[in-house]
Amino acid sequence: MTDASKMDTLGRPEQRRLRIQDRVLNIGLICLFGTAAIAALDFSQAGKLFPLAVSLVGLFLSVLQLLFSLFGQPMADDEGSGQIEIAADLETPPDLFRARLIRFIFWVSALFLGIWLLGFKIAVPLYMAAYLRVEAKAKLWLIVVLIVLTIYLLFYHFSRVLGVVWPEPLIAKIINLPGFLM
Amino acid sequence: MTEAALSAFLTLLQPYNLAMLLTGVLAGVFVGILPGLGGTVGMIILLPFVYGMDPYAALALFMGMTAMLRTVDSIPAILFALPGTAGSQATIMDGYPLARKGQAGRALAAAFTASMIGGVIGAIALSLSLPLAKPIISSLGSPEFLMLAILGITMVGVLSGKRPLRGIIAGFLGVWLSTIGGAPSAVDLRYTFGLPYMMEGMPLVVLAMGLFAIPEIVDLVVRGTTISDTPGLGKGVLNGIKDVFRNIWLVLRCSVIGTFVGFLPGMGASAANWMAYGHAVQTAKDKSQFGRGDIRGVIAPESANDSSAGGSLIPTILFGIPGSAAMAVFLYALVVLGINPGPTMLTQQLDMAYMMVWGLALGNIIASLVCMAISAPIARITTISIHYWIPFALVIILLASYQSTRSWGDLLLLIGISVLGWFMKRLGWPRPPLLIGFVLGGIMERYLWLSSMRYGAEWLTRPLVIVIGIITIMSILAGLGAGGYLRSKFNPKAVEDD
Repeated sequence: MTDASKMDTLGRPEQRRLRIQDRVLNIGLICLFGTAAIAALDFSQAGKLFPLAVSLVGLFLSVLQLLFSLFGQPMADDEGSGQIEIAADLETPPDLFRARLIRFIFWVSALFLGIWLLGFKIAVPLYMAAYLRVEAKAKLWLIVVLIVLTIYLLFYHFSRVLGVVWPEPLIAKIINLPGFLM
Repeated sequence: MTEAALSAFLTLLQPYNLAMLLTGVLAGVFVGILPGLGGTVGMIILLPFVYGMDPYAALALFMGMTAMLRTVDSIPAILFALPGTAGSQATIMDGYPLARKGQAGRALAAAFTASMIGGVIGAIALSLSLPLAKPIISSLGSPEFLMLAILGITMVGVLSGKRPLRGIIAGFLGVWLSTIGGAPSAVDLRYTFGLPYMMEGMPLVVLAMGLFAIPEIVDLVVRGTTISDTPGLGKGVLNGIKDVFRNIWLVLRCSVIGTFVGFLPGMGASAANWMAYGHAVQTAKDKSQFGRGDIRGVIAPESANDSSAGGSLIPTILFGIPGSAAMAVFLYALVVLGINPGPTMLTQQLDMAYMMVWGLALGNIIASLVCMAISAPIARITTISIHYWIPFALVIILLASYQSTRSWGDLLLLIGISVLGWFMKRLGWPRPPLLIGFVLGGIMERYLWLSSMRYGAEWLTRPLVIVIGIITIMSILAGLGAGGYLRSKFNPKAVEDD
């Protein structure tokens, strides 16, 4: 199924939403290139030439793309994003799509929040255990195996072999964490 | 010269040296399979072990690691859309859709076979270049390097199929992103918003992970299935090997591209990978399956990725000019081992140079066989529910990104780029041109500055610059279908009538 025919399977409100999002992205790029061009004027002569030229060309092309989008062919008539892009999933019903997306955003936010509060070495194994138990309904032995693998990566591969220094978590400012957990 | 080559071959076959080559190959599995670590980290990991080691054994160790890193990196690229190293970014484009169709075994086998052939060709090129490279590399100056980078960027138009304008804009966005941080030609700190994190510019690993890895994971989550749409692996491995021999001319052409691009200082495996992919799309009669699981989209970049290893060794060992960060570490290792990179290598240490040639060739063959052996069990992962591996993949992505500069900025930037990458994917804006633009943008600016400083405006009149310029214009016209695209935008019927 081509992207175009997949688009046809979407309802009109969803198509409209995609078209609006597309234009918002396009306008965002116009603003970005425009701001970059203005900011480049403050750089020294040698430093501004390249970014200024790139920003101006990018600005011109983005405006051109917006005009095509507004007055050219509608998006549904196009065939995806060319031969080099992995086709996006447009077959999942919008309601299910949104529900799963929100759930995933929750999990990612929880991971980031956990790292900020507890640090990599505590938050990551906890997150793994929670996700595998709740989402994958994984068996206990598999959870243990994957967590052991994660702990190996965190405590040995990254910490000792590569010498990665982890960011100090918020909790370390409140209580004294043992050194190996930092 | 023949005597030195034979002597080096016999030295490599000594049990200890062979064991070191195997150690390098096996160590490469663990480094290459973890996305974001890549060649530089692999070389750094080996450094502490080579102090005081016999130079021949150490060279075997490094060549084993180099060969394996360029081969095994296609496993995460094909199975999980995570580039194992920068040199496997383009492999994702068709390798991952093939895995989703249940053809992971085929894609992996094709990638490893193409890697093996590419790696051996790279080693042969390195061997042949020993007496020939000096006059060639001396004839290229910064203006020619600049033009080659521009040629690489214009390929985004060709690569973007029916949406070349979006592709070119994405390419320019990538070039613009490459200007963030310190200017190469001035003391300016550009677009840093006063953030110390931005002073060094944007890390490539974070950009690649955010653009590709996270959006693909989100896509899988919302689909709620396995990576592969069909159970089992199909008749994968044998078909993949056959695919390579059916496209042997493509493999050879892309290996030459990889060797040449790798040989140019500063271009690296990433540029070689994308240029070979672009060449495969450009020369294919039926382009419809690219991006949806065309095996040529795996074969082309993988042959270039491995052959670029041989190419990148040429300036490193002959002129002491590292072509990439990994080669810079390798150069340091050579000095530690008491080997003097540079023209003296051709006179006083020729056997060392040939040791690298044989090590790379043999290392590539062993690496491909090892990968082939482990591909079938690893490919089964794609048939497991995504929820089993998503948390692990997410953690690996976070760790690989954090590894870039080891600051919070890496993680925050990863979120921002992931959002952009996901919207681009969903709305049909091609992401690869952005990455190509980013890789080549820094190179372009540096060579533009060098060319202007050294030659003023006269660099534009150099014969090779003009030749590459003409090829570039032809590439742009090919990308826009000689104007057909623009006409179709405002008058679709005119093109249909054509």
